[in-house]
Amino acid sequence: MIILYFSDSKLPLAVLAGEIHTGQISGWENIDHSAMWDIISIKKEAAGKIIFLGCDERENKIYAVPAKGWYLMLPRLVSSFLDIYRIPRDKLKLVDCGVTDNILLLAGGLLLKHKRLAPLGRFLIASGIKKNYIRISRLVSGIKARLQNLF
Amino acid sequence: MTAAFIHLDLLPVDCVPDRGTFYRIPFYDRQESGEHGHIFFVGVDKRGNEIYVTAQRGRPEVLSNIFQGLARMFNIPSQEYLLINMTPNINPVMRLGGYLSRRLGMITLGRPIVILGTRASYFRLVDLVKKVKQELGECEFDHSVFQRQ
Repeated sequence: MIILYFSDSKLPLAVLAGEIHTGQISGWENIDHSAMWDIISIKKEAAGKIIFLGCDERENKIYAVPAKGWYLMLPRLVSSFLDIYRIPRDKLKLVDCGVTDNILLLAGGLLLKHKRLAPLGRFLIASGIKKNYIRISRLVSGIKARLQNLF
Repeated sequence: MTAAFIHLDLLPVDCVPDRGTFYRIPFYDRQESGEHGHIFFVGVDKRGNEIYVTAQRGRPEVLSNIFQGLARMFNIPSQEYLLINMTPNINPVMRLGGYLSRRLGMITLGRPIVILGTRASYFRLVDLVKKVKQELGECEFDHSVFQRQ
């Protein structure tokens, strides 16, 4: 099965969810900060670009798409796409991360554009992600549990 | 929708249709924001290509990124589809009419303005459709996303 995470955010929280799913990120305490900055460095030009993140332990292919501004349109587009190419709906599971950019992420993103304020921006982004982390990891655990029940 | 109808030979290429014709085009200035992103089937052209339309808000490249990403995901070759961005052909008159009609719900006022704008840009649309048909005739297009400059 293909699992596609998406989120209504400029910063790629969907990628974070996907990386938690694949096990590339396991627990906020053990987080590899360079990996986190890799996630954050995905620029806004990547909006709508579907990123392959790897496979989980059940060989499900995990993808993510930062879909700011496309949050409501994405499920319709995916559904139409599956219909056009007559792809069975159970081949793809679309997962809404249910999180959006909080004030810390927005402020951090703004500060990142200024060289001198970039360290503060990074701090704010890390705090913003931390705030969403528990919610996202719970969501991913729920998805994994549901996938286990399918088999 | 107008371009799709031109492509399917349901609208003429040598003259601008009258206002009434536009009123009769299905989906013309009728899409609700709740339908954005949905791809509607319009018909099949003479070469057997299926013609679809979709509306979106925001940056059109996001739509092409998502579509191409899905195609890669399911191993659908880029020769199987051609995405055509019509946004550059939307003139300010059409924008104004669309805003009045779709956003503010003033259809009686907005739709005639959209039609006015469409009629003004009609031959640009015809040119674009001709180019697309030429590309399809050659069948070996390099880019799956064709965008009028």
